[in-house]
Amino acid sequence: MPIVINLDVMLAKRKMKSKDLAEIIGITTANLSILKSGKAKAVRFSTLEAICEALDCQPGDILEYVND
Amino acid sequence: MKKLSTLKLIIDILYISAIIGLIVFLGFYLVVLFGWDLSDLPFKLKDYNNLSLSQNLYIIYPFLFLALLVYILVLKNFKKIIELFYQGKFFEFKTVKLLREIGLHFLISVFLMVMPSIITPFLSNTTVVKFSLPIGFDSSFFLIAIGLFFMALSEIFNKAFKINQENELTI
Repeated sequence: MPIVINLDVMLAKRKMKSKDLAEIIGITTANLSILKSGKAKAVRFSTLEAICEALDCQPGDILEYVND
Repeated sequence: MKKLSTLKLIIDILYISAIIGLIVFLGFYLVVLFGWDLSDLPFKLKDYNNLSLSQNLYIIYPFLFLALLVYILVLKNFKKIIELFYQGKFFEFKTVKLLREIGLHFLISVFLMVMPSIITPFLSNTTVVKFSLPIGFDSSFFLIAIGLFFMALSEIFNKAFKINQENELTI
């Protein structure tokens, strides 16, 4: 998929664990893992908003378009 | 889910009776095939003499036996689907596969049941061709319709499975 999820990078920058982020934004660690691995089919705006708020970043910091 | 449990009960009864029927059918076929004498039995078999005399039965019986086998396969797959529904697994790939198999097996069983009536006139060298209107629930046309319905249902379930998968993978 040409959309790459850079959630790992942002988590490392903020020195936050996946488990903590999952707890803050209110999703399961399994779902967060699906999102991180790029297996997710879609992301809800509410989830994106919660991630951006928790990591203090912009949606563009998490999602990136890469031409294959 | 009372409807589902009633359906399960009916399918279970049909499945067991079909297996018993298959065993009895196989027994009769062996009797006809080897020409065993059943006149010593303590009970009388209806139309036994007609059964053993007809030469066409050698050819007709295997088709009917196979049709019964396929019918048992249909019931077995039906049981599996009901079990999946009991577990709350409605839109799974397995359900799609089983529904498609049921439809296909229905069509095969119709073909196997119709074949003897097509072959028999050629074997007995008769010029009489029987025509019958496809009316009623036991007609071949109805069974073909049921088979195609199951196949269409499998395609619908396949779409539902994809939508469900997409929904589950939406974070």
